[in-house]
Amino acid sequence: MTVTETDATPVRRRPLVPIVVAALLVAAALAWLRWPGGTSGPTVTKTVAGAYTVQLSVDAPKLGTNTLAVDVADSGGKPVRLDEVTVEPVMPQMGHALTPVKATSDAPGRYLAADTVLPMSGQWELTVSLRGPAGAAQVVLPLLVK
Amino acid sequence: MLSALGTVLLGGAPAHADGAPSGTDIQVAQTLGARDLTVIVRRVDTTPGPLRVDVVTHAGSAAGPLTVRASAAGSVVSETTVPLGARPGLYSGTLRVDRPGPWELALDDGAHVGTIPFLVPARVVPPWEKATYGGFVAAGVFLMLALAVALRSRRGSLALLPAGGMVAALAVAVTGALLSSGTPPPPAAGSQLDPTIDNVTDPYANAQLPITDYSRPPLNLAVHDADARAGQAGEIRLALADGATGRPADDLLVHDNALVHLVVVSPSGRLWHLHPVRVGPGAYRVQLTPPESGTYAVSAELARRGGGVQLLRSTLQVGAGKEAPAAAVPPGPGPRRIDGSQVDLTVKTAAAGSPTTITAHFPAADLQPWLGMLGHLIVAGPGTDPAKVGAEAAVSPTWAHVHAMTPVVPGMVGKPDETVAAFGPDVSFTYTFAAPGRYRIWLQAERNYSVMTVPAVLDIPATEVAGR
Repeated sequence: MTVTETDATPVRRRPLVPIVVAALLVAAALAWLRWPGGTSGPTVTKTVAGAYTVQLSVDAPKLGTNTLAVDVADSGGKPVRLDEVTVEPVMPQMGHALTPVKATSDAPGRYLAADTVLPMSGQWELTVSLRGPAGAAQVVLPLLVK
Repeated sequence: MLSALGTVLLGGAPAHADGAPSGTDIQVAQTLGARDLTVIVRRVDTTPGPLRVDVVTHAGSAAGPLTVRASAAGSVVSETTVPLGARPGLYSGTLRVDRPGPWELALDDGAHVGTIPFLVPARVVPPWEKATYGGFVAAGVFLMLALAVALRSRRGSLALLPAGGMVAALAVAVTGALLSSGTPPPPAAGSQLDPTIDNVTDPYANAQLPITDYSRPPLNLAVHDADARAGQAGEIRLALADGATGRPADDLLVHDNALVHLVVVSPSGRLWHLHPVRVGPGAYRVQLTPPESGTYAVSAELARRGGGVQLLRSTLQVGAGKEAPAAAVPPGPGPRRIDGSQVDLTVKTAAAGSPTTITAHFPAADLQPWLGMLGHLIVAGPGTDPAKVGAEAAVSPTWAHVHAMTPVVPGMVGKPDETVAAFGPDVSFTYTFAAPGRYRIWLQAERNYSVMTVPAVLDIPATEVAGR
């Protein structure tokens, strides 16, 4: 908008009131543009599956190769060490299922499914299968690929 | 009591263009255990806020507590108990929802649990609304500024600067307002996209998706009832799998007030119109005591996310046991007595290939809408063997589900719910029979909180024979 440059000029002579007005105007314009404020961090989806709390985070999900991070904790929030974590991408609109990707352990309770190829933009459904001390669990998490 | 029922899709309505809290009531029929319930999830206006759940019971429903739980992201957020009375009618409970996004409502009668996915909408401010309101506010401020500068500054021409800003702000505001009606709504979370917290709270973030067709592949239906025997209480288990990936389909929408409409026809021609409860992804269950042995026809009507209603047909084998076949139905229209009510059936222009109108006359104008409709008509045929109605209906070329709509009341928004007993006494259906032959038909209408099923047999002559 033209807010900042236009009202800056007339305030030179009588500084106080116009400067306050101009400052308020700029603040309001910025607040308006930012509101409700889309945060541009990684896409995070969290859900509870049986004994596990599963969080999937993907940095800017995009067409092609992505790295999917799966964080698994117990109900108390403590990281869980699992025997196996796989991620199976499916594109429901196309009815297209891909080969499951085995995730490797990165840190306690954190598993990375690197080189997961999502060959189409749109909404994907990622089935995360867990096998660990508290049994097996499966959870389906949606992911939007732009 | 009337419900503001617009597009009854699961989490259906897209964000209102005017930024008003979106959402409508959702009515879902559920056959939970031996009870036939209609669960009405009232619209949610604010989060955190209350969620009112009404449960309509039908004649013959046992009294007892029904536990209702609302959960999000796999954890239960609130729980309440709705004490269902012995008298059929409306029973209510209030839950609490604390965030917008996909939710699940669980109904637990102690022995069976069914879950209904639903959507809690967020208050969404569309971009054009921000531009319009922001533009007008900025224009007002610029106007004040221009006046102040013009009055107090020695160089009056300086006032032109804020005046120019006002014109620009006005242009932004007016453009936003004019474009508002032509701005396409973003893809609807729930009915088109898998709902997530993100796409419910900010649907405009995904407005640029290169998707034009949201429809999904057809489903496969597996019907399973281990050890089904005549006269023995059993449970029909349905498994729904995606026809392209084989994965369980967990994206059913509420369509005609139910997730799945399961119509079952017995060998002697009995009909059930049941609404299985969801027990897991793609897994549905319903209790049924088959009264006779033989092949039953099973059909499921449902809608997947992305649109399109599907009809899946299958069979169910029931082993010998305590047999109680239904009495034979005399062919043709005429009066008959069903559940203590006199019903008169008339048929106009019965000929293959031309529209045939079937009208049922009930004793009084006190019919209640069931599943949002005044009446339902199931047609199966042509068939010949009165002892193998199920087996013939399972493979018959015609399997139809015809609706009689509730009359439109001028000025009324939405559809009446089941508590309105003011319709009828005539319920008529128009259907074009494709081929001549003997058809089985079943009319369904609700009266005194009891769904009546009127069986009949119609002989449809070839067009030439009927030529009048």
